[in-house]
Amino acid sequence: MTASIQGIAKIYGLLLRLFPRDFQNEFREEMEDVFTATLEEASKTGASLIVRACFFELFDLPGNLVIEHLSNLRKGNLMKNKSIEVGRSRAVLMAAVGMTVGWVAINWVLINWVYRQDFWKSSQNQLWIFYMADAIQFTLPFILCGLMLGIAAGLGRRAFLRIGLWTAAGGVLGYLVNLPVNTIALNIYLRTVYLPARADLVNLIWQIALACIYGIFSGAGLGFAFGGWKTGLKFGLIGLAANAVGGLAAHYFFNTGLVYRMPLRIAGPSYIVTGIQGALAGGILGWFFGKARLPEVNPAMGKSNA
Amino acid sequence: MDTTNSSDFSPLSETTLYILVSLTHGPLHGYAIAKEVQALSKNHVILSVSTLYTTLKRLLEEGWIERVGEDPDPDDGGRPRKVYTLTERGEFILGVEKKRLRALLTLVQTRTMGEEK
Repeated sequence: MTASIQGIAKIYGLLLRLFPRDFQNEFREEMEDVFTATLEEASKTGASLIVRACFFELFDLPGNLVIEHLSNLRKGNLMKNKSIEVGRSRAVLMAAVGMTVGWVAINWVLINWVYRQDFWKSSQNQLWIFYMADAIQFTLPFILCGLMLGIAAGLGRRAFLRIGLWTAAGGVLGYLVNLPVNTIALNIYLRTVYLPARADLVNLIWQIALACIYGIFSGAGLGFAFGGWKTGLKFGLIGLAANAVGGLAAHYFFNTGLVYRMPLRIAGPSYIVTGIQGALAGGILGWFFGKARLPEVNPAMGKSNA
Repeated sequence: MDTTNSSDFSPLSETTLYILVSLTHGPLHGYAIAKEVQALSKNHVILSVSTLYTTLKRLLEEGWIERVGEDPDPDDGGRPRKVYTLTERGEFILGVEKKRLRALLTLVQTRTMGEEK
């Protein structure tokens, strides 16, 4: 075997590590051998065929990686055999911390970095970009909350990827559903903008509606990651309630000026408000997570498969 | 044997069909399957290694093929190669697909002949 073929085969071997671990354990060595044999045969005809074989393989690999990872995630829901036991107080604490840190952190990044970029000035008419910032703002705290609950439940490493991916997928769906909602709400808001009291009410309903929709989808994604469709449905409803309560509380604290009277003003009122919003929403999610019976989960979530 | 409704798995994808057909004459290892598919399709279907093994994995999970040990003496003196063979269920599915394709061909032939007349 020539050195170049050995080198290419080694790189291919590294790429195969992108497949799910179970798949790797089962097929990686075989795949490396078959790829090496393919290259050796190609080398008998000419170097161009080696290049062709490599490109052919590279072209097919990403699609197969996606298929395998999706299949791995889907299979996870069908294979349920491990219990998750998290006490309610621990779940509330962990979820509230995750959600609070998420809300404060994402607001810090948005206010101090993202919104200061010139990019925003030149894209004022591209509302979908602004709405995307909303999506990140609402989804990231849910992801952190899910990861904290994963830690509380003592799950394995692979579980965190699963939680992150499914909650993020929920956020993407929430973004898509919110696009028409935003368009309609903006039109109504613009019609009432000269009537401040009414505009404030429209704005409040708009923001709460957004929070509820993101709550449904991100909550459903989080629930699905932990226990399948039923849990996903349940946590969609809990996410709705959590974000509605959090959003209303934030509105109350911000508009009554209560936060301005608090001694902790170093971080600015918006961080305190979003912190309160996150703590409340996370607390509600954690309360139901601790109480909720999640008796079964797939082995991919378990320590043993970490 | 589980004879689930044939509509559950038919029609088969081209890759799946070729792999199943390649195993009809006896067990083969992965590389031999790829070469056999290429030969059967007259170079029309060339399987990448990742496509071959993701398909093999699915077929193993479905129980249409199974591993029957390892090829102890590979030509290149490397690691022993795992060998795959059709299961009874795999043969059944291939039979169902054969009937479906035959019916489809008959339909096309009948319709084309009717138009020619």
